[in-house]
Amino acid sequence: MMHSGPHQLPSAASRGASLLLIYLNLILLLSQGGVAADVGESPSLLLDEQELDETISKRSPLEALYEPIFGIFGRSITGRAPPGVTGLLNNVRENRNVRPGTLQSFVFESSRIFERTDDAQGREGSNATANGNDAWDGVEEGGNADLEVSRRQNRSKTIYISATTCLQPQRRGNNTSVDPPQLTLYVSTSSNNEQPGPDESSSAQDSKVFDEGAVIYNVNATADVFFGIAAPASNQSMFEGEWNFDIAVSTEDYYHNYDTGPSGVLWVDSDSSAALLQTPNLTDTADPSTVQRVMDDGPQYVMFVDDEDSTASRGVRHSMCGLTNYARLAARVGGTFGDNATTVMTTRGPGGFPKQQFHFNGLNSSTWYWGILAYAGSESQRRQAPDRAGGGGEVFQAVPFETKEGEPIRIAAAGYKRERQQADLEQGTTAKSSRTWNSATRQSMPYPPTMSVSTLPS
Amino acid sequence: MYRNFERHLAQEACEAPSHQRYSLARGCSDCEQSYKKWLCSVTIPRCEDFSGENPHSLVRNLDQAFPNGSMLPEEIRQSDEFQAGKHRRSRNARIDDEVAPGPYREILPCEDLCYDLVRDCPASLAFSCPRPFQDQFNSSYARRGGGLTCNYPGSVHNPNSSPGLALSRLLLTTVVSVVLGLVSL
Repeated sequence: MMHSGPHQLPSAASRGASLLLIYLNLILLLSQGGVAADVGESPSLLLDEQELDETISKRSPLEALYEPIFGIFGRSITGRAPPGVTGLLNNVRENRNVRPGTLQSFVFESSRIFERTDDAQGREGSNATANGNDAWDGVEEGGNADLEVSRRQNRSKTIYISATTCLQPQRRGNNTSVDPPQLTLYVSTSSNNEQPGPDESSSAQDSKVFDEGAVIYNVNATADVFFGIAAPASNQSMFEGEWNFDIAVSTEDYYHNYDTGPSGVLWVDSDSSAALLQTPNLTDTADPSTVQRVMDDGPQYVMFVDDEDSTASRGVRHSMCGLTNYARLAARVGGTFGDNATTVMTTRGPGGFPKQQFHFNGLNSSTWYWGILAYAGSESQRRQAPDRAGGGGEVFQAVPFETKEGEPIRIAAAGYKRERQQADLEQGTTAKSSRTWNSATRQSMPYPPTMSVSTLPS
Repeated sequence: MYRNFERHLAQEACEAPSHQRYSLARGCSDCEQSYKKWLCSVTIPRCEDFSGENPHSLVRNLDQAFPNGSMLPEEIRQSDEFQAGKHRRSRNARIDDEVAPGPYREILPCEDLCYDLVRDCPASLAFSCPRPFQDQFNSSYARRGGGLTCNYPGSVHNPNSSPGLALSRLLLTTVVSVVLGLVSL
């Protein structure tokens, strides 16, 4: 990851030159029919680049996708960060390994922080002049440019940093009592401290330790923001291996998030090897079009299940990717656990509100488990806009549930309908009435161990 | 069980003009819904392990053997606590005969399932419910309370759900649409 040259601030002379160039650009574009949309002030940054960086800078393959358009469209494509530091894009996550006792450094550049607002302000400025008298364009342009300069110097924006642990060091031997230590996030907003970490003085940076594998942090940014993820030295007799984490930064809201309040997940029922849980109602209105839209969006939540005394997911309980790797079961659409972990949208229950149900199979009897709900977004969101604020999902607080001890007790679902039809409890019961029954109730009932338990109807 | 009910209800004038119907506030479909809920809760008991600790459960089917062949100890089966007939069998005899699950505990149906039946259905069906001051109430129904004290379609073990879930999802959706709106500009 090599970048040519350190970050340099523009001098006064180059600023004057860049203003002149903006003015010329605008005049040319306006005369072509007023397509002055995104010119504004981003070209000033880019023009600085073109003046100072004559060599083609080598960019890391992990950096932004190369875009062959530059100049008037305001995207800085050349990296200016020091070597060994990754520049992050807005709402795009990066994944890294970090060995015990080392630091991974990142920067979120001001050009990325302020690019959207710069474009918007530039558009307003040029729209104002487009309507004015041509003879006055020069004066207005200059005036606007001065405003832009002062606005740029006074601007600040909150940026949201989030990171989650995906892999953590494995426990050696029979170490079950100590969890792997957590990573730490260091943040610096000053260019004097471009690689914040455990070796830098604490007055020049902020730090926050991960909480069960996740960290969220917001900071007011006026310029480049530097941050790093540091892994503590781990006790080699208890753990081996390194960490792997996701990191993302956003100007709108956290990319990853977690919630320590009660999740509201309802434990409907369980038998000796299965459990049924559901979300609360996902709308509070019974308006049919809203309900239909929510149902059509499909399952948006994922639920992870882990044994209460399991050590596997301890340390990453707030991390979506960590739970994906370590939890015993995960119920998601198209998941890998087959019938053992399924999820479905339904409007069953009082009121007919949409909710998402989760059914887990293959559990041990008389055992307590944790059910951890996480919001992942709808299928279309995940496919079409994976790089968005909140794209990393949100993990909620775990809910405990227990399986029963006795074999004869079973969750009755469509299985009961099958038993009824086989036993011919009723002559000539209409199929309609039996189907609507089973849509209204779903609970444990005595069940002969010889009959198989059905899974949720798809 | 439902077929007989259907036949009786079919003798009611459900589609008649309002002065001929059995009620102005309730119709035949209300009665059908209430009956289905009641029948499900009564014939499909919500059960717990015999060794379970829910104080709101009723012991059932004490005299039968567990599926693995073992019986409950003599002193439990003969104890004064479980002498009443309600403990020796299930409400639905077919469970004892055809399913033969052994002893279990039932979370009894909620009393309002029965009251709804009386309220929603025509008087000609002559539904009536035991009241809490009557002896037979405790063998058939339970009262609502905090947690899982009685069974109804949709009852859960931990009903204290926070409304935060729907709200935070709404916020997230709003943020996402704002972002998408900005992206499309």
